[in-house]
Amino acid sequence: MPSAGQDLDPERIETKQDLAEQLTALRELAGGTSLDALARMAFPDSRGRANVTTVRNWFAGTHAPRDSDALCRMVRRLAKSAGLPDPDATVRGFANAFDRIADARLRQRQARVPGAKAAPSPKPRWRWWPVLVAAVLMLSGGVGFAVARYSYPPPSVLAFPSCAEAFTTGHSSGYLVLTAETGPPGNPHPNRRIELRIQKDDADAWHAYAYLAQSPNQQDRAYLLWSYQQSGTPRESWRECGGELSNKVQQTPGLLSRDRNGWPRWFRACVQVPPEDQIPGRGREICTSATRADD
Amino acid sequence: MSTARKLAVLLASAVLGFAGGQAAFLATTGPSSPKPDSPLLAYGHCGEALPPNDTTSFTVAISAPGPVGHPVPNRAIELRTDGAIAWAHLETSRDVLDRLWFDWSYERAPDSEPRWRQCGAQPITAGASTPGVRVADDAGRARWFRACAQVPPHHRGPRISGTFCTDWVSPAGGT
Repeated sequence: MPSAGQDLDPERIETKQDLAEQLTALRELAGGTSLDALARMAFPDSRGRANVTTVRNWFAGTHAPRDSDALCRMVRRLAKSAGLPDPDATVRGFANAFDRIADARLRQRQARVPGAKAAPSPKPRWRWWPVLVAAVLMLSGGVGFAVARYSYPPPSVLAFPSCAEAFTTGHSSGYLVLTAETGPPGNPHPNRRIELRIQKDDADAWHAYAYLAQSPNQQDRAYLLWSYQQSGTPRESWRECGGELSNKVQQTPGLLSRDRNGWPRWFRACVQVPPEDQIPGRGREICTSATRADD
Repeated sequence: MSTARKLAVLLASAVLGFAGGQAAFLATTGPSSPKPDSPLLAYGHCGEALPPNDTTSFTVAISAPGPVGHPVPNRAIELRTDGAIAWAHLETSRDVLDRLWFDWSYERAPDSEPRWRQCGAQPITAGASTPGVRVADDAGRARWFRACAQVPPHHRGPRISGTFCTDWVSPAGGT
């Protein structure tokens, strides 16, 4: 039971349960009027058990009043017998509360009726929204890829001298054999060995070069093939960097494994043997497979 | 959600997609700066190049018959290991022009040639076993291997490539 008096505040009423609470508080203030008397206050023109049941439901919070006038009549009588300073204000408060409850009931009913004016479920509108965002993402992703591809054209080997940067190679700083090949092709006792070597410069960049490690004939010709395309591309996309004699060994100058713009290069080290050393029916060229430093 | 916020989200996704597309290009085909050193580049193409151990106890980690497509695959390429090192061995070679080698990597089944190193290709006249490489490097990183062999053209049968290889295997239990 709410303590009477302090809790009487019709402005707080939002639901029929709130209304029942406030009515009970007012009834307490008025000295605990009986239900029969309350029914007579609300419905002075008619008598019967139905009116008592209706009023009981108001006080129990199970039903809200349907008739604002009946509620106001009862509240006015109660407020007067409770001796409240301003009965009219109290009546107005309960009348407003009645309107709020009636409005809420109307909104609820409209939401339940299909095709009503109230806002429909927002789902259908949102179903297309993620699709639209995804489409924009994909489209702009493609555009971004294309723009990047356009603004970073793959370099051509023809834009460089045949040996590109042509660094001097030396073995004082150490080297690494990336891959090697022996030949001539078809010879069961190969007497040539061509190596693809890499070494690091002072700036920690790899230089690649071809090194003819074994050669019985001074007419052998060693060279380095390099390309911006991966292995398996036609010979035309490969540039040839010829070797020269250095410390009695044929080797090529060094090329950056990854050029100054960051494009990786692929390399093959090759040696061509003179016709007299060729195995009949086989080629004169001994080449390593195409590879590059894994940097 | 208000129209202005929707437009903002669309604009943000457009900018994000544009940047993502450019990043995808640079990550796949475009130029890029060098990555930190690969452990592959700490060794030569035959790693430590240790002598193979075909006399005492070794196990065949994996083997493959060949030549592929030949009516009678009469050779077998093996990857042998004694627990410390691994090497390739060509069993029952039929021709002096047979060659053998093995590839090694720090990855399981690398898909690009720079991601593995090739030790060889050794003519069979130089021995039926290649030099050996440690199954795990000095830093304890496990290595992956596959052994390969190539037969000369007159032994190749209907297939042009006379090369046959085993699957990748890691005797040190790499993952």
